[in-house]
Amino acid sequence: MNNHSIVVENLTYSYGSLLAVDHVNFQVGEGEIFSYLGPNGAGKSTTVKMLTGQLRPKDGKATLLGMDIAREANKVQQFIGVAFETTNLYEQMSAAENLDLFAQLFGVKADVQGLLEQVGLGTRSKERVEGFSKGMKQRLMVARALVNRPRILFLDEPTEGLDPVSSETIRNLILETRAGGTTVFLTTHDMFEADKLSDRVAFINQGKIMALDTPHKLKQQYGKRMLKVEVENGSGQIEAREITLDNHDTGETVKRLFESEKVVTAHTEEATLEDIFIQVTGRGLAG
Amino acid sequence: MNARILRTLILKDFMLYFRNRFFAYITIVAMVLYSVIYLVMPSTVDEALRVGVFAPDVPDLLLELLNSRDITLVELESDAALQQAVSDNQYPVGLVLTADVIRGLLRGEQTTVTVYFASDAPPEISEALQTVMRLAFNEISYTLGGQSLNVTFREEIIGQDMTGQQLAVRERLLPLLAVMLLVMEMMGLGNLIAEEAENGTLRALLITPVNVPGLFTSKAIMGIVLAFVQAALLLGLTGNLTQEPLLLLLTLLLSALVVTGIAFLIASVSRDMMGVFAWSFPLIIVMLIPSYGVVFPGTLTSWSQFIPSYYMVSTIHQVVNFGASWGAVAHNLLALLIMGVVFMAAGVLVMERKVR
Repeated sequence: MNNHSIVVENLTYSYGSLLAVDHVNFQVGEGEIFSYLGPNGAGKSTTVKMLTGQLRPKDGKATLLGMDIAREANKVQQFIGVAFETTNLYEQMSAAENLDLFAQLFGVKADVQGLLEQVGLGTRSKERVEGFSKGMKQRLMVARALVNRPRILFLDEPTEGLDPVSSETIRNLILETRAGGTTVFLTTHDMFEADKLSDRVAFINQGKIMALDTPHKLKQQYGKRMLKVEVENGSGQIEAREITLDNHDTGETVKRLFESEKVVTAHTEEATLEDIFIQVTGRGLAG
Repeated sequence: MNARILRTLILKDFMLYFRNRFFAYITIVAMVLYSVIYLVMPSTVDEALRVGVFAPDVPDLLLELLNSRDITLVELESDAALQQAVSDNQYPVGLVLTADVIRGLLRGEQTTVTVYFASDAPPEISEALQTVMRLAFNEISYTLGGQSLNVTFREEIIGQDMTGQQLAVRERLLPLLAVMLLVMEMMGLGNLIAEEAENGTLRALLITPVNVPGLFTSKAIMGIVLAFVQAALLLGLTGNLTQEPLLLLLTLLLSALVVTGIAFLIASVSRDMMGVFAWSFPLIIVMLIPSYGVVFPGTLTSWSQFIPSYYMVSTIHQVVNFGASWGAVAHNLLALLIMGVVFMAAGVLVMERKVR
């Protein structure tokens, strides 16, 4: 991915004396799903606000599609879509009216009904948003972010607090959007979601990026793969054993175990992104 | 920001405004209701004073003389009946005319007339009515006997002489009704802005090609149009746009600018509708004060000129009720323009800080 949709260099922001984003550097390739992971207050939303022109960086630079967001915010905003972490729809308008409004502001002809069907709201298009559930509102927010067919889509905690069906709808929509060539910048503290969707992930903690790579490489680098087995001992009791994989003598150890013991169950276990996050940052994601 | 975006934002604001049932209700109903109030109020001034009289020994000639002076006498059969009628507020004043009174009138002597007032009659009303009575008797005494009573009155009128052109109640109410419509709009627009800021929809708009100046321009246009159209419709529906219509429309436009600026200020310190109400009501009370001065003349002092609505009330009152021309109210228009610009600039400035 030589073409970078987003290039961030030493991006910094502080609220008074609190350094929220501390000289952050990364690039996001065109058509990539990039997840920005961290606990509450880590600096995720502040980074998104700077990248979308809502906040002006105190230091550093962010370039989106080759344009400096601080200098050309209005130009950049034509090509981006943002789904916010909190619902901010016009509640007294219908779903279709909400999308129509933003299509008109962007000056594009949008397939409003098609978008609503994509997020499972096709039959509710004429209903006012005030009667929608949280999941429906969140899906509508994602549809609104897509109304101008953005080249970069920012999703800030898009599935937080949603039921599994709504979450799955949004995840599928993210994958479909990426398939159309859109770059997706996803902030979340849902490690499962990030692992499932992302091409690369960045761990942010206290305003600093602690690790950045593909989920697979992060697991390889920081995680330990284990073989978990249950064996039956001489007195008929079940005992649990763990064998670390990827050691030079792993093969020999496993062979010995199967020859000398009565193995009842055996399965491998990979480290999760959450395990790695804790390992890298020394703290959990709960905030 | 181009005209298409501005138009989209204005239409969106109108849609949201009228989808808020409370503001839709007060906007439409208030305008109709205020017009109806104006139209059902008396359009003429009843200048005749109805006086109850117990006059057992008084010739009809004297009563006719009294009647001819815009005093309508209603005779009652007894002193007790007269007292009861005055006590029941059927008449503001009751007179007892005895044979002694007639003699005094004919001779021009010091004469005592018994006058009844209800106990709850304000002192200034009693005093005014006594003066009217003294004048009438003095004149009658002169007519009948060629000599006046031993009382003289010196009358001096301060300010505009309203003799012969008293304003009807509805004419006095008109500036109050117009200001009411304008200040209610202040609340509606304030709520619209505050809720957009609080609900985060402003944030959503600002990551589209909409920028902050454009956003506020659309809000200002919407607020001014809404306030102006309502007040103009009120004047039109009540038939008061016939005299100097351009002058009146300009007054309303500048007034709408003032209230829109204040709406921005209210929105900047409010989080929701309740916050807007809390800030608006004290302001509305203050903004209505100048119009009380039109309804109840003489109740205002010079400090009321510091209230922004003074200039809109004064201009509407002078133009509609006294036919004032451009030159006579030019200073009011200038004051409205200055205040409109100041409030608008201050409102947009603080609101911009809040949004950013």
